[in-house]
Amino acid sequence: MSDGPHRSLPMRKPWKDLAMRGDKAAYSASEVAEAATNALASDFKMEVSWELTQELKSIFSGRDNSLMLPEIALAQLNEANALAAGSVFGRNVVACSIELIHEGKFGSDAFHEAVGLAAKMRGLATVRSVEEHYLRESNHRRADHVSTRISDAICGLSENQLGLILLGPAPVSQRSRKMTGLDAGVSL
Amino acid sequence: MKKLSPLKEMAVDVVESGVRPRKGMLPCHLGKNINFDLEALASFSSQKWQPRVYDALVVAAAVEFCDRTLTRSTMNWGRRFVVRIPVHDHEKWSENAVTGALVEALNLLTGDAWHFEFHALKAPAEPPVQDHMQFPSNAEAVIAYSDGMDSRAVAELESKRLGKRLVRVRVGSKQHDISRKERLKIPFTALPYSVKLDDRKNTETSARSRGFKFAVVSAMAAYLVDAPATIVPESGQGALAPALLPVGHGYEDYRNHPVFAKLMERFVNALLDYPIQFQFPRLWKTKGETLREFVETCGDGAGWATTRSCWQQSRQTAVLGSRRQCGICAACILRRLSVHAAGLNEAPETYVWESLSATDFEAGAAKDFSRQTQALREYAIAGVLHFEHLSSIRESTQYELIKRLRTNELARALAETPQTVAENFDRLLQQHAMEWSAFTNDLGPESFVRKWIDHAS
Repeated sequence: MSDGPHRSLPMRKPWKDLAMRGDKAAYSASEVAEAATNALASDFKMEVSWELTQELKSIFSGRDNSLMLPEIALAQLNEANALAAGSVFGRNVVACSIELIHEGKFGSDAFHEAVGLAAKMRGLATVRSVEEHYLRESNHRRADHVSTRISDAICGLSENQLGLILLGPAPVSQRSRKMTGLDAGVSL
Repeated sequence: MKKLSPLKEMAVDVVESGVRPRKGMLPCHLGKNINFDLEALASFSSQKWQPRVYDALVVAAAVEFCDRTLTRSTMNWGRRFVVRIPVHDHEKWSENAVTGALVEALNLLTGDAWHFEFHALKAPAEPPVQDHMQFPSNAEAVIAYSDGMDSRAVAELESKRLGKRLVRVRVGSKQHDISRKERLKIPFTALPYSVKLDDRKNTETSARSRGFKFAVVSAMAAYLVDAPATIVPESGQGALAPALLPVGHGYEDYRNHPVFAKLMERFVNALLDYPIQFQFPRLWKTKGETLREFVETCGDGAGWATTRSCWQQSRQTAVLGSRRQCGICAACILRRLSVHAAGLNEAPETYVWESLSATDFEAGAAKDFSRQTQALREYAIAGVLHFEHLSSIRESTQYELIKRLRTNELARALAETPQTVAENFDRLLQQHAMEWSAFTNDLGPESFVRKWIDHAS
């Protein structure tokens, strides 16, 4: 049995870091959530274009739609899909935006929520892959453990906050702290 | 600041015989990479035949050529394609309404970025020979069929309802169940074209474009016999779950999904000025419920046992030279689950993995099977987890999130209220969970399948 299935996880580094934190009980739930946010932010920056986010931002702020009519915004979102072509994350951001506009939501909070929702969907899809990997490389208990901890962390994130973070400047990469010594256990 | 990850790109020029491809574009030769079977094409020769139907088949073939030729990156799913295609009516194909609908449907289906450029064909294709083919005059629907369980069951069930007003359209090239004489009379007995790649070793296997191929072929057939509808035979788990539960950085699978079908309706309408509706009569039933109804309606001789669900190649799943179904890929797991749910039985020798009750994975395979690979074990884990996740989704913290996003887009595609869709969705998931639980319980606590999921739910 490997002591670090995250090492062979066929994903980008931030996801490996997240898998490691989810796997090791020494990391608290908030540290897992922090790693999840970093991984999602990294994917967002690599997969969602600036043009798309600007377009969505302007649709949510009511560009050419001063009465904030959902029909107009939905037509604009349909057009925006072309900017998301080829980007799984980008397409999901548009899909979530469509959902929020259908719910009658406009404004920057709604825009952040759309991005946050799409990010959560990405996170949950990735957890399935992490679980599968741990089951292949280790055992079901460990796969279940890592999957539950990461899923809970992702579901516990605020969509609005998550969207705000992803749309902000690139986060400073947080190196995972090694837990060494008696005082370096789970934070209280 | 991190850079946007670039998409893999490919430019393809579909060229007629004797025409040089554009510089910098990969040629896809008509007559070499895309081949029409004239006998099969003749089975599409209704009085409504028109060159745009032929063009649509060429477009479907070109899309398949692109999709299979360029492998996806493991870290970045999407690709960008630029495709030049010669067509009979390039003005029609170049209309925004046509190209836009085509691109929208393909972008959603494959998760790629498609760009098309249509130009006039130099030598118009010969129209198919109209000879002995007997086309129905009162068709109400067509149904695409293959050797799969859903397509056989639903074709029979819908035949009970529609009789000869249901027209079958084969979406494979095999014609083993039909005599040569019959082939000359019965329409749509085989897919009229095949696609051959120059490099057959390094091909992309995600095959999302198959959804487009099946939709185009069945929609063209519906148009040719003047049927207002095409029936998608997939049951709930196969139609909806692949879009609900994507894995990793992969893209949702919309091949049998109503949202994709809605976009195809728009494309066909724009191209042929012909309104067509894709119908999903089994969308809210499990495959097990469909199979049960099939057997109850058509009797024990219904022939479900001879259908094939496995997508593994024969050489990978042969035991002592005889072809079996693997028994552990997601399609086979769903089949076994459904047979169990329908209260039916299959001979263990149907599958390479004769027993899912074995205590470890390797021991479940036929003793004479010699091609055990790590990949097969990985397929099995992925398949089992997929149905386990679908089964437990209603109790998970993510359910409200998934439901919120997915039921509403489904409601819009089906023109139903979100409440109706949500109720149907809940019932389908509940039924699946019951069937999965009964199935895995019967495998016994020592089963390798149970060991993979008992603590993972």
